[in-house]
Amino acid sequence: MTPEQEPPKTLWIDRQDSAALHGLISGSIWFVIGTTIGLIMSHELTLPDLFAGIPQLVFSRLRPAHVNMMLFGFLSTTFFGAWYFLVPRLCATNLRTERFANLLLLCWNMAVLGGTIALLMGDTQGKEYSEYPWYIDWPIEVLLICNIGIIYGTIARRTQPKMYVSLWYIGGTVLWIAMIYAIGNVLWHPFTTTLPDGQVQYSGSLIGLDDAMWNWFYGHNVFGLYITTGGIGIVYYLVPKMVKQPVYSHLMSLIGFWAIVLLYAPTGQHHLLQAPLPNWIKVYAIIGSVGLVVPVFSQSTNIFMTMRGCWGQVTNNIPLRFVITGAFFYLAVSIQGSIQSLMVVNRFVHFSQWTVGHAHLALLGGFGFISTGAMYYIIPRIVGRPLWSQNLADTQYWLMLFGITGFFWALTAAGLAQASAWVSTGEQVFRAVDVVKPYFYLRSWFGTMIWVGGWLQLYNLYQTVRRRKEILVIESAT
Amino acid sequence: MKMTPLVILFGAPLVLLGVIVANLGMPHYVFRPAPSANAVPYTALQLRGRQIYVQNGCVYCHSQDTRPMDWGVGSGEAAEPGDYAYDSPHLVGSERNGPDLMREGGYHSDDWHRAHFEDPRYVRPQSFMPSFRYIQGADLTALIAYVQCLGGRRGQKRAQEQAQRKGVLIVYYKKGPALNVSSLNSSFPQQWLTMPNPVPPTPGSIDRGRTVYSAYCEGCHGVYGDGRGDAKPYLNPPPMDFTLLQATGANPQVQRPGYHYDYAKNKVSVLNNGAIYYAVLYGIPGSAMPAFKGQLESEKIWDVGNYIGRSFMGWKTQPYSGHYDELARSAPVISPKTVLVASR
Repeated sequence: MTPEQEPPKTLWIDRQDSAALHGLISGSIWFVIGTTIGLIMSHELTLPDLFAGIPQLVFSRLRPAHVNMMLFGFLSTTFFGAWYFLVPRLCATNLRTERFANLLLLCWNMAVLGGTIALLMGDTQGKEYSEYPWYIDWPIEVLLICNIGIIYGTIARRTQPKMYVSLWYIGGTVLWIAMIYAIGNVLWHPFTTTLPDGQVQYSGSLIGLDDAMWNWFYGHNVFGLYITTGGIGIVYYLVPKMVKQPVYSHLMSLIGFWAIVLLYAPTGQHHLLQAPLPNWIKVYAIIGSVGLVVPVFSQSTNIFMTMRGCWGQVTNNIPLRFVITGAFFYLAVSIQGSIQSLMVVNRFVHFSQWTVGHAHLALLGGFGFISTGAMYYIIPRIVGRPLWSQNLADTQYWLMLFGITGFFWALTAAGLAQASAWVSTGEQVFRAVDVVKPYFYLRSWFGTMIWVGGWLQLYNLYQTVRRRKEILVIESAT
Repeated sequence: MKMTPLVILFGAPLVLLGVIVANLGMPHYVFRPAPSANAVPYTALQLRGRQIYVQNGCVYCHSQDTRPMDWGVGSGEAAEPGDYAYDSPHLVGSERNGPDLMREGGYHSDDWHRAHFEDPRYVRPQSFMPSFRYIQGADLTALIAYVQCLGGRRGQKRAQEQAQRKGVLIVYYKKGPALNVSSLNSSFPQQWLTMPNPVPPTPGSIDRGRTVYSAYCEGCHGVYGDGRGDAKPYLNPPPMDFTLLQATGANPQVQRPGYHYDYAKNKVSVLNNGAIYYAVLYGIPGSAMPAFKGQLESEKIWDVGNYIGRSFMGWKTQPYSGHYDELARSAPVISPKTVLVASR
């Protein structure tokens, strides 16, 4: 399974599983950079004049850089790495090809770096999650299409005829994100132009509320049909593999797969329930959002039933513990999402810090934990050595668990306090400014725990990859 | 169901495509709101300002989506679909770390915005908005032009009103504090000047007033009420110096003369509690004094007036003797007519 002795002449980009390693390590580096930016932003909310007068470090330019880096840096490269490890194994063949995948990841990392610099310099399309300017969008779209080629090229040469659930999800995800990315970034309109009627159309945008609808269709599906489905595909591989049991139900896998694309895709407009859109669009979005309980519950039940009789393993199997914690957070955040898409809840919590807590629970609590689990499972298998330190990983787990839980509750409390002020007592937004300040301090402290966890993860992986033989193994690797 | 590569390769995008047609395609062709009566196309300068607004990520903390239930600038003017007709990209926003800006135009003067972009805490001591002091010159002018055009025709009308009144206020400011206050008084409706103070300046009221003052007034009027707050260099006319009014002993409630008391030199018309209340409530258009009617409750406004009067203008404290009705009983009205004005 592991490549023991490669011929010495092989280039690193041709070595087996080098693309997977490349992706996973990139992900852990982006995570450290991204959380550092997040930590700076968090401190800027409590100390607003921290970097006053430096345009590249102003909160509102760091925010898109942070969000896009977590999405396209941390989670994307980790997922690509994990897919490049899973797909060849599930197909019982080699990746097509290792060199192509490595080059793709290299270009991808350059694109994320370039996009981040562009955003910090103030070059942005100005719409959430599609901020990267057109000269980054186009390369990313090309890379996404190349990624389809890699995944389906490998599937086409498979020697294992059965298509495992993970392959459905990964195969679907690479197609969906390529479609959604083009729509969300209005790729066919890269430049800011003046239309015949004098109306100015901005780079990567449509006009009026139409633009908002398209933006949020993409804005939610980049999580729903990219991060969620890509991550669930990884969970479907890791959990049965680690507990050595088959997936509980094939039927539930089927329901989960087809229901998620049918019901997740139209949810985007629940971000616009408070905007003057026609009600039928809002109703469609709410039906999709509430209907999401079908795929979410079938996926979660399937995973947790696979775990039956093996729950004790989470105590000493670090990657399993990360993945299962992530799966629990995913279930929690999905239920929360369905509830907050209801009109009566949404009118209360919309625009408040509640939403920020929700977003972090999904991407850090859910898929961030799953990513860490994937790194800790896959990287030792690629390099053929156990994880450098189980204790360090254990420390990281508890730091990040306390960090994200405290972070989430601090922001949820802040959001409820804001919402009560705005809606219940009819205060202007400015009157609620002092209300949220204590929670912002809490957010900084809990955020620091996550940030430290990110560094521990990077250091642990670095030592795992670098140390050759002389490691002292205290616990046996799983 | 047997899942083969072809089923996924064609089935998965097909389902998504169906949803795209229903969820994006249909509204794209069905929902085409015409520009609303209030919507105005942007000028070149406003578009430049809008671009700076986009580049600096203002949308991440300031929504542009006034809801029927919102309290704040533009409450009662809920967003209509046609209001967004000229927006590209949309700036609806998803978060309110700061106020909704859909109707912001004309609620603050250009000077206020200038000071606020330099450092928001100059005019808003509680704010945690970052400083945008790196936006200077033509860019700053364009950004302010954009902010002042928000709110469509009505917002731009308000902004024009601010600009028109500014000249008059500067003229009176230059004539000295006496004429300045007198002209302000004459611009306030008479009933406010003769309004009895329903919250007498008891020690409790003055204490509460200090809290309000430090949170809302200090940035411009200064800790000592002398109009030398952080924002002063950016504002024309400058913030009111309350201590000038103390120096002349302008308040007849004070039996003893003020520090520089000299009728021959410093006769100033009085700034009484009703006038302060009116100015705080509605603001003084043309100056940087915004309306606080949506942010401060009635009692807080009387309280802050009492604090300003007691601390900076030499008013007497009225001890609270413990009668229930004392809080409702008014202190004697200080009529602005009772004091001679130098020019008359």
